Amino acid sequence: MSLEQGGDTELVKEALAGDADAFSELFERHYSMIYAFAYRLCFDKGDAQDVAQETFVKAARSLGSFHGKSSFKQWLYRIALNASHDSNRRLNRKERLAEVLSGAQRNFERGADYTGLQCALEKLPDDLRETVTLVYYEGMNHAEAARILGCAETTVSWRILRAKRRLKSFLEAKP
Amino acid sequence: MKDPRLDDFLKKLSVPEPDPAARSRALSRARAAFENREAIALVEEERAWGWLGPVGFALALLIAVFFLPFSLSTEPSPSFADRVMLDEMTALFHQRLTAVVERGGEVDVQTSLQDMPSSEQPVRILFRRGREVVRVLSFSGREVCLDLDGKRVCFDVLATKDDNVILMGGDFLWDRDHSVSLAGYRIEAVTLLPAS
Repeated sequence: MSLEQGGDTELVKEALAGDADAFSELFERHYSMIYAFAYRLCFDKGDAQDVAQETFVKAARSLGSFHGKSSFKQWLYRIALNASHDSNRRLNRKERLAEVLSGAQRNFERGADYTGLQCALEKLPDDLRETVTLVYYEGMNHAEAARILGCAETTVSWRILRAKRRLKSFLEAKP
Repeated sequence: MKDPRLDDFLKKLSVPEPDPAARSRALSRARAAFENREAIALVEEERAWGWLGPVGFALALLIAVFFLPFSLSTEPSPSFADRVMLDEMTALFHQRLTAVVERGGEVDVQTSLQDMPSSEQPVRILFRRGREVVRVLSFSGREVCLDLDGKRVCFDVLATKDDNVILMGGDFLWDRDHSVSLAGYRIEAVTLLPAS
């Protein structure tokens, strides 16, 4: 089976056997997805690029620990989530929020209609923002999101409910 | 259940394209990590276990610092120090030394008026009651007398060939297989090893 036709599972097997091209193919398949996921978690292009790079470096180092219990994609999401936590720890949260609000102000002045939403999302606690990102952006059901977040499915449902309540004021302001 | 309205609004938040250079750099570093993963794992494993040496040493030091004072405050085991002390006292009092009695940090030397036959079997006897310890260093064949809880107690010390110690008093007999208490004191008696 060629690399292009093979599924993730096949590519992972080939990578585990030492095939660097198979690993590169996995990178090509999932980089954009992981970068976008990281961006929605941290709202900063540079940070998102760092998180995406860190995700694939960690995946490369620990590919041997991937046992196929979840899909490769879900495994990458989990690594990216942890990498974003590390990234958030490195950054001064207040400074980052000030930057985002400043950027939002510039967007508002340009008339961008997503400014309020970005601010609302940024103000969400990390656990709610991560859950919203997985469910609404990555299109996962609650069970899949729960596996990546390492929590119960009911916890995901509860977080979504709380997040929606927090975002309600924004949604009500938009007809 | 998804909320289409929220979904719609969230999708308005566009994601900027990553820089091609950043993507290329990420691939290059990830591929390098992939190709060197075994060497990296080895280094990380060494790093992970490397802390055990210093931590183990620090732990041992900590244990020593905490427990050494306790071991000094309680009575030492049949030791070199006990034998040295007994030898020093014997050198001073020759064959008139009956016993060395230590109680609460004070040492009392018991001697006889006449020379006694020499003995090659030094013995240590401990009388314990709570935290109180009376330590007696003597020899097999000697009679030792001391005050225990206001009562004068005398007994003969006898060490057997198999290093058992027997204490024979007027109204008691103690050995390691027939342990008895004396005026509330628990008795422990052992022969001492040679100092050299």
